[in-house]
Amino acid sequence: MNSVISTLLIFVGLTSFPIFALEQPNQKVILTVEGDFENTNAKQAANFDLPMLAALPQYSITTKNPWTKGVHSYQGFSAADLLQLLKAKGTMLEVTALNKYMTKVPVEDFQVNGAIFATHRDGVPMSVRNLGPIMVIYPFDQNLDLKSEVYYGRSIWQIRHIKIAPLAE
Amino acid sequence: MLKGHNWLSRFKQWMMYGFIVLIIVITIALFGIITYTSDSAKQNSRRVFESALWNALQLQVQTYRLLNYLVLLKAPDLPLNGQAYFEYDLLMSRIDLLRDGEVGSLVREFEGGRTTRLLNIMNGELELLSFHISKLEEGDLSYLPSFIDRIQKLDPQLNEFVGLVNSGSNAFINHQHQILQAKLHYIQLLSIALLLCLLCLCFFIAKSFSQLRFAHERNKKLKADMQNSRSDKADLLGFINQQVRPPINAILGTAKTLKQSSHGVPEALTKHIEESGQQLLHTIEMLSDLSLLEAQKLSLQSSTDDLKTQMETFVELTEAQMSRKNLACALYIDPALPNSVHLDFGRFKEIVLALLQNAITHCPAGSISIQLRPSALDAPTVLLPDGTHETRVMQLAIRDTGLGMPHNLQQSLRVNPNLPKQKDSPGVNTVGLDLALCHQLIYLMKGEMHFSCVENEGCEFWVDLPFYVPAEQDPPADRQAITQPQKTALILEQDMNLAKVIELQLTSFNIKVSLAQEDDGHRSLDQYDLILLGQFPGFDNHLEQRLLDCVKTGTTLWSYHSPDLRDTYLDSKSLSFPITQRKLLPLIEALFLDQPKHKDSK
Repeated sequence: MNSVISTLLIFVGLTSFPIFALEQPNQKVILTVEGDFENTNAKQAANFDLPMLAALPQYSITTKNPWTKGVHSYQGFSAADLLQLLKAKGTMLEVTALNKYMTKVPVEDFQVNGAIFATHRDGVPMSVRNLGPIMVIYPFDQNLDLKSEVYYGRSIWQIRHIKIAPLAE
Repeated sequence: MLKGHNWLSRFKQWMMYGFIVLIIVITIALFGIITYTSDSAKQNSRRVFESALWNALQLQVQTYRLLNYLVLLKAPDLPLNGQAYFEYDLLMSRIDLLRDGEVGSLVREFEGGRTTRLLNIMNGELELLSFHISKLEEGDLSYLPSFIDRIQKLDPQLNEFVGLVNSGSNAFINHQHQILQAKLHYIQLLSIALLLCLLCLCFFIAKSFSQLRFAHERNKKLKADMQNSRSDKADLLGFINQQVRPPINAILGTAKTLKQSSHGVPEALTKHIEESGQQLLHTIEMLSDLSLLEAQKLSLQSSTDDLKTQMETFVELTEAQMSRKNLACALYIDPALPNSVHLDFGRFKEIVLALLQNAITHCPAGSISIQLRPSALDAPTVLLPDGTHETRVMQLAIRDTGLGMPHNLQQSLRVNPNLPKQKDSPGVNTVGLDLALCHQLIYLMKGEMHFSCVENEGCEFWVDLPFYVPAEQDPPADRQAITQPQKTALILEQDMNLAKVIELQLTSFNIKVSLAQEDDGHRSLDQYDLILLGQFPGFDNHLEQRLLDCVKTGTTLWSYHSPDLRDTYLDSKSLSFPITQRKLLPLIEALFLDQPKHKDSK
């Protein structure tokens, strides 16, 4: 009887710890992605620390922007690679900042206009005070069409959370 | 009066230019202002204004968040694990945003810098409070009350700052709005000015069109009047020609009768009357043709005839004039040209005579050499007259060794009516009646005229004229029927132009020709069947003796400068100018066909 109970307990214990496709973060979580996608490491979500984000293909943009002085070199990852990693499908991202400010950024901006989620500025991880840990940045100096209110409005900083909006039916 | 009109016309022209320049300037200014106004960078002033206000409010919210966090902080919350630093950094990032970038630049200008001072006070105080944050992170909550108290004491500065940013932003956006309004006002004014200028321009254009139409109609009427006048002139000259011809013919007939009668009238006198009469008739015909050409009423009267015979006849008409000036002349007609051609021979004669007359005029001594040969030009595409099967082009080349035409005459002649910008033919007053008519006739017959002149060396004219080849060609003329074995000839002549034409003539009779400009005293003369002695500076007793020797061995001697041989024992056949193939033919036939050549047996 005891052995039967022990076997049952082991079975319940094993089934109560889900197996995730995505690795677990080892450091402080700086980004949480939610949405309908396959590769997760939490319940209906994917948490990322800085090394996990750094493991994604990296891109850099050197530009001026209206919020800081001078020209800076920003380095980070693309939403297209993030979606590919998560095996997610979506065309719109709902990006929320640490202060709960939210804006929508189309995935197309990362594919066509060359925007990135910057995690480093001038080679240094971006602190909260320096508008980090993650900021959406566009190549403003390379494409003058991007110097408009639309893209300045999408340039959200201190990002903490991304929700992948489902595809429109 | 006319001067006044001219002045007015110039004034109108300048006014038109002025309007066009004004329109261009206004358009450029208009587009410049529109572009400047619509520049996205300038439009971003609205965004900067909104960002300033947004960030000021976010600073306030974040301050209250930090305050709220601190008020709610209790001992069980320890350790904080950087949460206090996180809240503090969020607040400080707002301070930084308001001090840096475009927002910072804008906020600095509000209320004379009061906003900057307030920001600096808050920033300084918050920087000092970082010490308290570090203590809280270490778990020391004793600093918490003073921390909360100092944050609360920042509230008046914070409220004042948000108020100033709000009023400053409003003032800023109002100013931007005023600038935009001013630009719109300028655009309106410039648009009205542009519209007015365009209306004025349209008015001027309409008026100019009206004037142009009037001028066009007037021009058309004047042209018609001019054409009528030319037509009347042609009719009058035709009438004169008709009226003058019978009496002149009567005079010519009388002169001929007197010449044949034994009334003792000097032959020179009758010849002079005949020549003058012919010249008068020719001049009247030329005038008549010229007026018909001007009236555009001249139509070519083509007929089929023997080209070579006609050409030789035309050249022989100038024999007396050349003889008076003691000019040598030779005509070569290329056997490649067809015998029978379809052409306006009357006008062709006028062209030949005009060019010969011009050569005689500018040639006080020397020679005139004439060649008629196929042209290298392509035949013009024209409708073939009945009885002809193709169009070809011949070239008439006339070269004299005279003084060369004066420069102004050459300039006047260098007018090609076929060129679009040189419509006028040379006038009678500039090039004379002969050349004016000749020039117009050549281009009427779809030909071309070119010439080259060298001072004191003479001129050469090249006239290319199209002609039609009749479908049924006459049997070949008898002049090229000589089929004797090839003979040899020597031409002793210093004038190489003349010598070369005679060489061509003899070559057409299957005679191999050598030319000599001077005698070296050693040339074997008895090797030639025929020797032609022309104007030869090296003629002396030694040459005379050598010539006598070779005549004895059967060489035939011809000469065309008989005065040189007057005092010699040489027996030579004397040729008269112009030397033509028609003249040479019977002589050569008599020399090489009738008599079996003893040279061959030598």
